[in-house]
Amino acid sequence: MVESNRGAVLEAIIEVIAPYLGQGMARSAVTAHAQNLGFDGAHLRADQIEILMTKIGAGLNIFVGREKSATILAEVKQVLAGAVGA
Amino acid sequence: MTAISNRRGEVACVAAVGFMALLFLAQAALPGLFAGMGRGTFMVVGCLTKLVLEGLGALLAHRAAGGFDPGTHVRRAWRLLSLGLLGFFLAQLALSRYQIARGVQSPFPSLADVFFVAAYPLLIAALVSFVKAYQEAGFPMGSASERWTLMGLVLALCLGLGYPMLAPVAGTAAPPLEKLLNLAYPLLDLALLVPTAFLLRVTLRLQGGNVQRVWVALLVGVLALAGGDIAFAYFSTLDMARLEPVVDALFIASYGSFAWGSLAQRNLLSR
Repeated sequence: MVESNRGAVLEAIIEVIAPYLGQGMARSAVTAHAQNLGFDGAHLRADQIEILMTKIGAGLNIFVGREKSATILAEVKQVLAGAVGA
Repeated sequence: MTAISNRRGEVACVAAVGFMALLFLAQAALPGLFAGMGRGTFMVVGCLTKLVLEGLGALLAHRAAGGFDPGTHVRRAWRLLSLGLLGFFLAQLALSRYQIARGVQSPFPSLADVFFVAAYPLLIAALVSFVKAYQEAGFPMGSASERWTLMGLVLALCLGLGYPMLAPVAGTAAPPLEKLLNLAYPLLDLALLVPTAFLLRVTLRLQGGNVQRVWVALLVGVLALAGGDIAFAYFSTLDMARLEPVVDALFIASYGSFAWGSLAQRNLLSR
């Protein structure tokens, strides 16, 4: 099963959502979601990344709405595909 | 509409509100400068400005609500904010019967106070719904003890500020209903400050993000509203009519900030 480096995945997600939530909130939100889901190993599987992104998307919804949140998550997927091959 | 033109609309809104608020502050600070215009002109301009900002805020908040999923706390929050601003609009409309149609100061209390008083629980419920939405989204809110500490600090601050500010108002010989309302508005504002403290914590953590300006605008709106109510209670009870333009400036800043926040949220949804 394909696994991606956890740190690289989290950094890629933070990079995309930081313009909306700010660097501090993006970092603490992504880290908190990963910890709450128990994703604290060195690597993340594709299904774990999907679950993490669903959680982050739910959080983004309250700030930017579902449509915009889906657009941001699509951008995250693109960045992840390029950066870590997820 | 492009992101740049959306942002220009927000800048224009903030500039217009800032200009009007400064104009009223200038009238209080330098009354001689505006002696030729008279208080009547400012009363009409102030009433019209507030009507436009309240109506715009209610409409934009309603439209912002429509961008969120039905049944969610955040959609409910924007709807309640919209209704609260509609309450302010109806109250201002009642005042305009005197201030615009007849060119005289409106009586206090009046029909307008029914709408003003009704608007506050809606605003409080809106802010509580925003806090719930934030909690529900799973963003870090701090530990339970941190939250209780924050609430305790806010309540202590409210008591510490509220008692010395409101004691002179309570001690005047004003008619009972006038005194009751002069105490009720600042107390309702203090109740608004509890959810505001939680939202302020969120807002500070959004530094550098596009969404921060929505929350900054809403919080400025709440704080200016509280300032306006406290100033109104002071100036009307202690008969300091010369400083009434300060109250107008604070209310214009408040309603303008609510309109700006609603516009910023609408822009974020559509961009």
